[in-house]
Amino acid sequence: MDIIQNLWMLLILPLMASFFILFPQNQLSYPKRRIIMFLTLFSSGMSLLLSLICAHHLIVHPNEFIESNILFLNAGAFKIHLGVFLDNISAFMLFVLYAVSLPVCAFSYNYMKNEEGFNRYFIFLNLFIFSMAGLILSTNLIQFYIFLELIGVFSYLLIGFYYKNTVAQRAARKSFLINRIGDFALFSAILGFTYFAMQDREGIIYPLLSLNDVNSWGFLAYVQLGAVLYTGICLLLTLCAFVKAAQIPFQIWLLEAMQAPAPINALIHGAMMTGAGVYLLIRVYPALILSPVILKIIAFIGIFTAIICGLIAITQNDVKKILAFSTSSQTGLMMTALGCGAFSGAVFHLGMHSITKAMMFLIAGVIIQKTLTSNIKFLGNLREYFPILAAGWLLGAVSLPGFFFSGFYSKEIIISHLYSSNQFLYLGLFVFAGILSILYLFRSYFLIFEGHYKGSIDLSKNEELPYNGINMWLLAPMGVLAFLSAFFGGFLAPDFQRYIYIIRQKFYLIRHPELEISLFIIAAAMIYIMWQIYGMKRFKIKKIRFVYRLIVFQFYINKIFEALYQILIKGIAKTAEAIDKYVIGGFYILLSQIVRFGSYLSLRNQTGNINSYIFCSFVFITLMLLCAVMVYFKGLSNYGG
Amino acid sequence: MAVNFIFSCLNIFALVLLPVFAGLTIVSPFFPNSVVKIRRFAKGFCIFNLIYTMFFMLFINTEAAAFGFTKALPFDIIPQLNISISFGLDSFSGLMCLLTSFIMLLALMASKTMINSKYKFYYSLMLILQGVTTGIFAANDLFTFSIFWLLEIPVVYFLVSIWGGNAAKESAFKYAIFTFSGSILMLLSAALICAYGKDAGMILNFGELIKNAVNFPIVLQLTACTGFLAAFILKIPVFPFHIWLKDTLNKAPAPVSMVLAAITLKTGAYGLIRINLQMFYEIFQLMAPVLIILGAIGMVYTSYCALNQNDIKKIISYSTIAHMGVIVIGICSYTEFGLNGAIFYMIAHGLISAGLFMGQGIIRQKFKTGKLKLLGGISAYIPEITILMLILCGSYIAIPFTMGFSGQILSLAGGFSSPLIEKGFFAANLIQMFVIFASLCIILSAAYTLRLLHKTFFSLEEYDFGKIQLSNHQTAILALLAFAVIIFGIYPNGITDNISFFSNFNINTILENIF
Repeated sequence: MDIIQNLWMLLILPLMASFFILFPQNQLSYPKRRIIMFLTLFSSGMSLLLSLICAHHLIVHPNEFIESNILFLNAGAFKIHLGVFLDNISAFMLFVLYAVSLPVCAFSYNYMKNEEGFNRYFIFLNLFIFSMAGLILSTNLIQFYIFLELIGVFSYLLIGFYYKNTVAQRAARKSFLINRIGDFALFSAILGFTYFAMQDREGIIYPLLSLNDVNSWGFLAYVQLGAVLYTGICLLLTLCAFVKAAQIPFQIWLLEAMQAPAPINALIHGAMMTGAGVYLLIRVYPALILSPVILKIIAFIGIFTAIICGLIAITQNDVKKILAFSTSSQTGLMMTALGCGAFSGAVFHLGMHSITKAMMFLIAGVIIQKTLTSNIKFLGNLREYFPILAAGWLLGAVSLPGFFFSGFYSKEIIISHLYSSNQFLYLGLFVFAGILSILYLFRSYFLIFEGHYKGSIDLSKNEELPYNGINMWLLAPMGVLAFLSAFFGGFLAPDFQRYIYIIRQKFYLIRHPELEISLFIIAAAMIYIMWQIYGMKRFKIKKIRFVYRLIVFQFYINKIFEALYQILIKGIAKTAEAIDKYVIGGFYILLSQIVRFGSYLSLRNQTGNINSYIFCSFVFITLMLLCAVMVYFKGLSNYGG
Repeated sequence: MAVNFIFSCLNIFALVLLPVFAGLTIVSPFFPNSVVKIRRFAKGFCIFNLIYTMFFMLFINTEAAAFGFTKALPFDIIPQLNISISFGLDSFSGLMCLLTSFIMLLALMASKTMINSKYKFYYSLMLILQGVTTGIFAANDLFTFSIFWLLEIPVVYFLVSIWGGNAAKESAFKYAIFTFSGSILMLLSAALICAYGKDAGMILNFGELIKNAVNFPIVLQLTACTGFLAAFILKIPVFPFHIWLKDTLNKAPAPVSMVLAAITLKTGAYGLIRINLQMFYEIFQLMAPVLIILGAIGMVYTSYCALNQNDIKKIISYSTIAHMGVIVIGICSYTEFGLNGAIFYMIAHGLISAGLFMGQGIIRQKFKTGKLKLLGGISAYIPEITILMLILCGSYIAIPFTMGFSGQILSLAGGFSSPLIEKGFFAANLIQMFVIFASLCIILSAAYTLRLLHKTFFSLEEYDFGKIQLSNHQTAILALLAFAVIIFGIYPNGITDNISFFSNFNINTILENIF
């Protein structure tokens, strides 16, 4: 099959799957659920295969990219094209998407089998995969915007999947609204870039704002706008990326999103939707380079988020919340890498983090389903009941901070880049954030899987069951993801920077063994300390009450947001309505009162008294005569003169 | 053969006057007084009219300069003053006529359960309203346009005041006062132009006016443009003149609200394009930036107002004003894609707002209240409506692949890249800043629409009630609208291809003449 048809198939397959799922009417019958599952698995499996073919094609033909467009909206000079665009970066992201989505789809089958709205779930899931594929394959920024918004919609629909649950509904609404801030920012940026890229009205190259051609329109806009305004527009782009990537202070939507079913968190919130924010920056990176301030801002916000969210994650007790903060923190590290110029490191870390985080979310889902609690204070000793889960969690905890396995390779690229380019401040902060991630991940590991079980559900019967009571359908996807997160990074690492890089950007292929060894020792020491604290319970941590409270309550960001909402939305809304009622409405009432007063005055004259009528008419006639005489004489004098 | 026969049957006089005659037939004493017969006759006629309009669309030459289809001959009524009744259709007005007959059919379907008294009068008035609105869209000279514009006011007045809710008479009166005060200025302007044309010995159909109006004396142009503008901004309505709309929409019965929001408001936007933009573009470019700014302020302001409402219908009414702002920005942008987007959004908003008013009508009918506080959990009672309303609301907040998206992005992009900025009438980038300000509605519209959705369809703790059966009519209306919204959202070229020549030709002429 032709490679372009191949790419279009990636968009068509999930659409077809969701279209066919629409048909079964009776939701509860078992065989139909199998058909649904088969359709979904078929579409994502085929997609995985096709994405591998694409990757192979790019490896065989290096430095090639494939683009194909159709005209979506034809309206004069402003044409919107939808299309597919494959280069090394999008091929890598495609593989990550399907490598995560295929296991998640398989996992969902068993995980959701008793839920009402099974069909709905799979329709939305497939449509989400469709929109994510569309986003990754975007040929232009407008298409990116279209699919980014679609992702937001399906995230909204899936967070509110339990539509009878008021909390879930409120969470869905809140996260959607916060995401819309990002949409607004991207929309404004698109307006700006479109206008200034279209200034040269003769030679507009279609598609508009092509992502293949970021250099040229970015430069055009830069020349048109000057450095300050250009930085402003780029700031809008980065604002969008910050919102989508759940950076501080927008990480609230990610927390709200934790109301969704666990596989959804794994695919959408842990892996792809936050990744979409980073992916936006990756795509428009050549335009961002033109303005160094932007890169500094990105790096700063990234490292700030990484450290703050890492700190918060240490104090949280909810499994999903820990993972959510961890996601924000890791995405912040990718942002830092982008801001510091470690482009390929950021892309690599994005992929590895997605796979590992998806696996950990799935494990969290199984834990919640089996123990009916997500509070790690009520868990413990699960290693005895579910050793497989413990192994998976440990794998993630080792890999994510970059201690070992896949995460190691991705972080190694970033760290060696920072070291080689002498950005020691960011290197130190980066390492600090990495240490924080070791702390929260191992704290959660020791609290969940070691010590004594404190839950209320009796888990001892699971030991006799095959696979410790975990269904094969749940286990296999986690196994696949675990395998990938263990070895995939090592498989890619040797050649990664050769394939994924950005022109005009330095990259370093040198390794620094001394740095790696010292970091390894620090990390090992940290793990040992965590073991002493939470595993062996040798000593307790002394908490500084004020700081601890501040961190536990997440620096009151949520409260601040709520207050801002009250002021910026509710407060202004009340004022606006008051203005509408009293000022503008009052003006018209005043107008009508003036008319009424006039009628009152004229009514006053209708006395019925014949004398006054005669008087009035007399006065009127006199006035008229006077006028006539004046006009007459005026005219006469004119003629006379 | 068949094609020729159909072509010979097409007559715009018939298109405009047949609904009026049908309405008069219903109200005549010969017509049987049974509800079912009246309703079936009206609906049947509407279906016929829809098909008839579709045939017009088939034969309209989309690539003709202006008014490509003027088969109906002018009919002189006052030859001394050079005044005649004449009709014509081009692709833009044809689309609007199609929208009119489609929405009118749906409104009559909705009336089945929502109108419970004075059937004869109601159905005849609705049909007359259809004829009159088609007349506005198909008018080919200023006099005809003004006549039908004036005729529309009493018809809507009666529809709102007789079948409306509490204190409907007052709001209907408000509507009449506001629109009449604009219409008088409009009539004066039309009379001025007629008088001038009589002196100059011109034929005053739109085609000629579009060519020649630029050469009129500048004072006449200014006066006429201002007069027409006054009528249109009162009708659309633009920001400080919106007071009547929220009351009238709120008090009108659901089918009439559908027609009001979907079609009657669009006549204002239609006039703005047809007369101010096409004829008096040289003068109008002075007013367009002001309108863009007013539109932007109005969008944000009314969105905020909508956020604070506690009644479904009030939220939808307020947001209608906000969404009309998008159309105003698109029209006043003086760009091809802005105009395209405005026309697209006129159709999109017609379909969506009709759907939303229908949905709230169903809710109000089944639950006897529209207060957000008292509603909740409707998704359990009527799941079909929930899905359809989700689609329509999604389109309302411009989700991609629905109709709202394409119109909004085109209009706002048009406003942002308006060539008026280069003319330097206003401080540099002022218009652009206001367009960005207007696109804050991306957040605000989501806020109020989601609030509406959640307070009515979800957010209830207990869900153990039985389902409520809807009549097929009601589901069908919403389903048709949602279907259309999605189809033209996925394939927007279906509409833009029709109007692109219209906007391309006009904007190019304008730009050549001005810049």
